[in-house]
Amino acid sequence: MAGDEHAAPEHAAPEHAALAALDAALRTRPAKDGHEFAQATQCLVAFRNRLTDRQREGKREGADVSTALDQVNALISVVLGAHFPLGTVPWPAVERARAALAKLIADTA
Amino acid sequence: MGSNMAENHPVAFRFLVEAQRRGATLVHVDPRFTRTSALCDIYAPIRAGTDIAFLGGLIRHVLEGDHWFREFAMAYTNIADIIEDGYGDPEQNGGVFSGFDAAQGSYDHSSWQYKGKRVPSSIAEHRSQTQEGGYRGMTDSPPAQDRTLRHPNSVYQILRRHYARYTPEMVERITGCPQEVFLRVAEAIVRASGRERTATFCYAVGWTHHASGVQIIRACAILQGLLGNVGRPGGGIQALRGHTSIQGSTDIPTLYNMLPTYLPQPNAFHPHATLADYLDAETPPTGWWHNLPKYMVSLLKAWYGPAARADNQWCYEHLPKLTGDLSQLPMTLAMVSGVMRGQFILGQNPVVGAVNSDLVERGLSKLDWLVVRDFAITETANFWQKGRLVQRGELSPGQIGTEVFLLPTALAGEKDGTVTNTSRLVQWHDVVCEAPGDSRSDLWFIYHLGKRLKQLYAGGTAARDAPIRDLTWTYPERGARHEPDPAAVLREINGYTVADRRQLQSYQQIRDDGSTACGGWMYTGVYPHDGHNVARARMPDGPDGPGSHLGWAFAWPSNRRTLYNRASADPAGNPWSERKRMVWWDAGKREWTGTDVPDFVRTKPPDYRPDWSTHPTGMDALGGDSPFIMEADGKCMLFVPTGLKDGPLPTYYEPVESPVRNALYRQQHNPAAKLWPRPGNELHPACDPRFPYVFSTFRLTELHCGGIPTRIMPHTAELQPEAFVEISPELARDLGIRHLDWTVLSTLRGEIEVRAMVTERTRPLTIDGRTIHQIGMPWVFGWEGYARGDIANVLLAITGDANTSIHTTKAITCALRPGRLARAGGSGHGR
Repeated sequence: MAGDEHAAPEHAAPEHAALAALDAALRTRPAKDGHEFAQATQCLVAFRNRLTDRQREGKREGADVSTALDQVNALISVVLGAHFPLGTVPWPAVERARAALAKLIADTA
Repeated sequence: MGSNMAENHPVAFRFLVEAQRRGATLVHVDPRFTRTSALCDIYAPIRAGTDIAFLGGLIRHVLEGDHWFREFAMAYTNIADIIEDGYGDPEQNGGVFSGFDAAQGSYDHSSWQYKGKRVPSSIAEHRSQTQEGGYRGMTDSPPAQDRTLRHPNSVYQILRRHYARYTPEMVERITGCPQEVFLRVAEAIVRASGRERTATFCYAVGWTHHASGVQIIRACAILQGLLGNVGRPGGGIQALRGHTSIQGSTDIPTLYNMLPTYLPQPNAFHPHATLADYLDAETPPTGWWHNLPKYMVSLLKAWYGPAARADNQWCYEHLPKLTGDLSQLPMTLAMVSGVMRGQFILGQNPVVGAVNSDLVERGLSKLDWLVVRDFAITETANFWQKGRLVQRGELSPGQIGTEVFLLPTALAGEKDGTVTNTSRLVQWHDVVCEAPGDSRSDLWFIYHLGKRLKQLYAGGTAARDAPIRDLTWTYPERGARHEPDPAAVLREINGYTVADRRQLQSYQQIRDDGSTACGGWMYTGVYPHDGHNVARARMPDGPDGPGSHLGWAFAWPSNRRTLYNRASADPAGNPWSERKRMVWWDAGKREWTGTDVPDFVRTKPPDYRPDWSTHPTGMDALGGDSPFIMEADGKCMLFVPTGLKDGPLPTYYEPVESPVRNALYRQQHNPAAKLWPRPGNELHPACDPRFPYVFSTFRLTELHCGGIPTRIMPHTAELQPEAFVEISPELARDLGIRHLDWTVLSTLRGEIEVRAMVTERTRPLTIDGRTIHQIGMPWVFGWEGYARGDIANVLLAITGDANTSIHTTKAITCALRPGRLARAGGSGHGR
């Protein structure tokens, strides 16, 4: 099906796959509509959905999940903006997003 | 051009018929011979998507024949201005302008500027895609000029070089329009322009639905600027807007990238962190848009009421900031990727009306929830049950997790409110009867949804809750259904004083100190007093009246009917001719007056000149002979130094999909067009022999909007009972297709079957020595209602205009064969 060819590898946790996709994007710097961004977006969405499920399950780490969810939603906005940019790709923002994701992964590990 | 006005805007077309009765020459330039063509004096056939070649030919005809209105253009346009030395034209630059970044597919505008200056663009939509600011030199002096027009980088010389190759021969070679017909059109336009006469252009989505749609309209603007047909009675470029308040939904936008009445949406990646930063970056130093802070602060005050204070930036932080292109096309792709969880569909039927219908269905199938508001079942509401993917067996209803809510809506006569369309005319309509059952107006739905959200967020303490918590949402409710009063909404859009809640009469009263609130500055004056709704006015001019009809409804801004009408007078303030007078300077009263509301500072004399030693700002920087006040220099921009994403001048590229090579450049199509090729959205290479025909879509008089309102009505459905494709007798003969035979149309996006309408309305054209066949199909059919048929938009790809992201529906390529699809009978038999 269209769009599924960029799905995260099944063996990787989505947040790690998203990080790898962002690293690839920063390495290759695709001009427009880079598939790396598509993959990063899909992985971040999977990560977001997992956090949403956890929050709805009402687990004890609810407050932390809520904070993480806010951060992931912000990251999706940035990566989606890089995937479908207004003008040129905002690379400095992508670099900051990559760093924020790496920190989030470390904090939630 | 770009419209079939007689069939799609029949009410407005009455005015053209009346003009023709009084001696006007009507011209129709279109790929199809329609009822509009039949009523015109000249019909000029062209290949779909080649309008810039045709208009470029007209520009060349006007320049090289010296037919331009010299006094007008020298005074009111930037024809004598000098452009930076580094400017490079596609003629010398391999088909692209200077500043092109091939890797990014975008332009840097530095070399397009007036020499020594950095010019702001005037439209918010430009700014959302290009970071501006850093404006330079606009308050120091007027742009450098060469009034002899000999400077090689004067706009005049650039225009002449740029359009030199758009000869009648080249026009015929690209468009297929015979030279003699093209020249008849050119002569008719020239004959109808000057001091005593004016010519106008009418267009609709036949111009906008292209990858270079904005540049098509720009080409027309250059032509009209050269001929002096702007700001004058009978002149201009008439945008024929959609029936369902399409203009209104741009003014008070449903668009993602603009705030009401064309204020730029803040962008996370621009220097917009604070309101001061935003205003500093976005406020042009000169021209009317210098008033931007007043409009922005008053908008925030209208939205957030008492919560908006000077010490919290008037709640500027509540506004969402853009990060990317969130228009419908990329968001359809994002929906396919599973980014979106839900969607509201109000006033549209994207499975039928949006391009690449199969991809739209795939996206909808990925949602958690979908709310469709309509008064009958639509293809979008039951895609999960009857959609093409389900019919083909690619998906089953059990596999689609989307929860669909179909909520019944009120019809137009069952609600009151306004419609804004062609002429920027805001017209009020009253409720005729109450909607049956659970049907409610869209206003009711949004209002009550907002109330419930506010209840949910009432106790919220997070920063993200504040925008909903602080939102002003107090509209009077009527009757047992608690219908909000739309007049109250219109009063808020009009604006009012905060202290004593008195309605504003004009946008000149709007302030940036929090003392006024205004939901849309261009609409100020539509409701100037309590109980006085100007949009309800219904007093037309009599037969001997001026024809401006100032007593009929409200045209924004200020009930002004013709924008930039200062240009209807000469630089000294006198009408160009008695026959064409509209606005003039009354020396006795020392003010502008006329038959329309003057579009100028009422008391600024024609001989006013800025004192550049004081570095004037705003309107003080524009002379009394600068009618185009929304531009930073007050001039009609024949050459656009800033803002456009695909060049300062319109230049001809082939449509993104085309059966022929670009005759002008090696650059085949608009290099800045928005393309998203991917599985399911593949594009056809140029001259792909598998897809040899030019394909265009159109509407039908008998089927309204996306078709549903009329397909479900027997009396209208029987007038156009089934989908069809129009093909020429020549192509039918070549392919062995007879009238009413079944045919299959296919592209890399999908294939459909419809019956053939073999008609001479569609004619083959000779393009560069080859016969090119064009075929057309109405896009308003679907599987619901009495009048059914396959969806034309299945064939189309998701592509976007470089400036607006508007999709391409008017010129793609396709294949055609006799027969049927296997799913429809299995035999593939065509009769």
